[in-house]
Amino acid sequence: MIHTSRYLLFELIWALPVLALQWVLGWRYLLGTWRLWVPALMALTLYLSLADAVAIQQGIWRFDETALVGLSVGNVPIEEVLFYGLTSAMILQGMVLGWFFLREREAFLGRLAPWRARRRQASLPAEEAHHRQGEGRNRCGGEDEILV
Amino acid sequence: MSYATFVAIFLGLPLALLCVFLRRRLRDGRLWKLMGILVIVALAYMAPWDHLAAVWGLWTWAPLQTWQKKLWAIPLEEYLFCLLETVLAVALMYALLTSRRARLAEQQERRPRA
Repeated sequence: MIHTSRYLLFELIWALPVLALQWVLGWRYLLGTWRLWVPALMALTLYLSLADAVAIQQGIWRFDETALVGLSVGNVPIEEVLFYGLTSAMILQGMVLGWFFLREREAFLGRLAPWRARRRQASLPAEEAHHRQGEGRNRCGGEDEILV
Repeated sequence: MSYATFVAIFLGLPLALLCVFLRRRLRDGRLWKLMGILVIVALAYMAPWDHLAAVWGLWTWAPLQTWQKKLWAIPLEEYLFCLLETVLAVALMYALLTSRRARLAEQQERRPRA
């Protein structure tokens, strides 16, 4: 049983932890945008599986038949269809999460902007005083005068 | 058909079409930032896994249909396949996330409910 499921187990062990992590981190965003990424996932899986059929027919790659469960769509093993589904899901979901991460970051920095501006203003008098002190020193015989 | 030709036809071509479609939005820095990160992560995560599968003999490539140059046990075209699949998926998702439909849905969500 395990012998003939080697490819299937190999890809599931590889991909499922990543997908699980993505859902744990950003299930709100993934649920909120499912109307965008689910059709893209289906289209990519279908397209890449069709391309895979051509590659197999052309003999570009081949599989160890003893590692496959034996189900196939045309000449494409079901593991391959699943492979394209899993890889596409990892990338598409990664993109959705990255997109919203960047947006949240921008929004956070935007919310922080007034506070940072206030801090800058508050620190301005002290800085100015320091600056003026330095100017005064120069006027009353600083390094410049000595050099001259 | 060689592996490189296969990659060019089935990944390069749709990607080129998608780039033409997205031509006005290609200057968006967010797209390139996310694409760069996802490509690096995808290649780094795919390579050891693919290498192990090749070593175990789960799948093999026809030597005469590849460039016969390998990094670990994987032909260079396989890396190219992974790279272009990632770029294609990222560009497609970007097209959807910045589509008019997505922006309208977002505006509706932000609008205060009466």
